[in-house]
Amino acid sequence: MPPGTINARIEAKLAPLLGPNMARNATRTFCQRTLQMEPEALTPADVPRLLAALRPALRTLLGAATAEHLLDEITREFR
Amino acid sequence: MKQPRRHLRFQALALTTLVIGLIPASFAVSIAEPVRLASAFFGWANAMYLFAAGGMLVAALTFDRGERLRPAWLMVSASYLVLVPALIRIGPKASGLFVEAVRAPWTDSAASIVSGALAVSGFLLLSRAWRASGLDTTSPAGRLVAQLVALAVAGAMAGPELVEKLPAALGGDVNAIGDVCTDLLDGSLFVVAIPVLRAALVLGGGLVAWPWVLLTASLVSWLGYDATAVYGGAAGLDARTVRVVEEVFRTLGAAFAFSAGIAQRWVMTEAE
Repeated sequence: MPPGTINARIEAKLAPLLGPNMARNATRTFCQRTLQMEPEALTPADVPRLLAALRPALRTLLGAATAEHLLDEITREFR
Repeated sequence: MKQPRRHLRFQALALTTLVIGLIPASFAVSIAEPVRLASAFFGWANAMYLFAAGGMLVAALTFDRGERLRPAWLMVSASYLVLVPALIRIGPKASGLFVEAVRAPWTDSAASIVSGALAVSGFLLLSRAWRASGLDTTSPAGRLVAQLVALAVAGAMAGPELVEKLPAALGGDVNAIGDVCTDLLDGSLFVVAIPVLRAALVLGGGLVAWPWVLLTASLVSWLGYDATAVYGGAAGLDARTVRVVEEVFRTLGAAFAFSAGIAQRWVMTEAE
């Protein structure tokens, strides 16, 4: 997968709910905070850890059921 | 579904809420007799408080037990609900329309204090949930500036009445004590709610922004209510107009609260 495409796909999944700016910021912030890497360097193997880091934020805003549904959808994209 | 279409019903909800806010003005146009107008405002305010409480209860119950936002929505819902029995006990208010002794002033003060305390607690929980989400990337300097602006606004709204009523409150006047407590709670509400405004701004363009935007609109409406009460006379408005504008802002405050609750529910069901 070319560099920069994984974060773009995750951002595209988050953007309808979080807005384009927050989707980009959240992906960048949690990549840097949790994985100590830039989002452009993400590999498919990093995705589960990134999603685990995003989980509490999404559960707070969307509730557990809706957040898990969204996270499952993103996970399926990278299987 | 395409993104603009997903926003359509939220936009319709916001627009409808704005139109509902104008209804007290239409009462004022069609009812000239002051006592009848006060009765119309009385019934309308009760209905709007019940709608606000109901809409927010819907939001609370969409979250499961133990989720952070559930108690926050519940408390803000209760802050509207507690006003209803007090309003019914007091009956139509003469304020600005005709002269009559204030009925059950203690009931009014007590309900306002309980409602204010519940609203501040609810918004504090909403704000804490937003900060705990880790999505708030505002710099510490940005947060400080926002808090200072909120403090200035709170001071401008609550300050004049606080200065006027504080000596009497310190002298033991129970009505003045009630007014001072209400002013302090109203002022605190704007300060603790600042993160809600930040959330509305940074989530812009996403469906999740809608409940936060509508909550912000509700707060701004209550700010308008306070500003009219404090500065309406000084701005040259006659007593009847001040009362009508207050009722418009009261309706907007409650109606946007209702819409915020419904929007929260829609966001969660839309995403499932």
